[in-house]
Amino acid sequence: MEFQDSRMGRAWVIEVRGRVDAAGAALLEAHCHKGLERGDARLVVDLAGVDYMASAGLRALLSLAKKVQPAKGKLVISGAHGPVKEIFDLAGFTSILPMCATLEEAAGLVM
Amino acid sequence: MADELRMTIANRLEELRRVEGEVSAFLEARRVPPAWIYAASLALEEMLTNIIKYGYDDDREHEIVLHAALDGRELALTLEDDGHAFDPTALPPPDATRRLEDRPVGGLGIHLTRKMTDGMSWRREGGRNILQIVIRRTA
Repeated sequence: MEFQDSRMGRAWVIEVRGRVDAAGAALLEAHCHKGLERGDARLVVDLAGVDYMASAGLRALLSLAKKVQPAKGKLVISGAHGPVKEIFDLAGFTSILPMCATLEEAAGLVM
Repeated sequence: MADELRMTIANRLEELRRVEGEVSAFLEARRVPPAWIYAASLALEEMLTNIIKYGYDDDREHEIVLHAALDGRELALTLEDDGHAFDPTALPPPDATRRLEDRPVGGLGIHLTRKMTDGMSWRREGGRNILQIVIRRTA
């Protein structure tokens, strides 16, 4: 798993690629946490390049979503597809975490 | 020909990647559909994480045995461990209607495993948990 940061307006975009297994989820959470500490609370997590994720990844994202709320921020998921999208559905997360098909849409939503 | 894989796994989370690598290689070599490989990876990650994190009452090293058996229509994964008795099939489903703030974090892995696979059975035998997970060809 790897990730790369970029900006779209005021949104901080984290592009994730590869497998988000338990170890990867911990790395992703730590990475996003650093951003929250410097005040970056408008997050887009781009999962278009992710082909595997399990409950550890969902829990990491849920934990981050809870943390951005008091900072008046927002966390939006972008580009989840196939079985990765399916696990968001199965976990009931699509009703509690905003999900967008494209980065542009997601960046618009976190503003 | 019986197509089988057997692995002995130590109760350390670092083992998860070795398991995933070997199981994926075994399944890919047999041209198993990608959806099965995803389901098998997820089931093993979730169930092994639970066993390793919560299954033992001491700090000693334990062995978990994985057996994978594949025929044309079905993949059966069996995990055997000597941790305390725990039946993941008995866990009630999570309440997906609760608010984000109120969601408990546990139980999600078991829920996903149930949903992504086609059958799960558990028994306690000779002081061991024996968990079998089945993934079937649907088409």
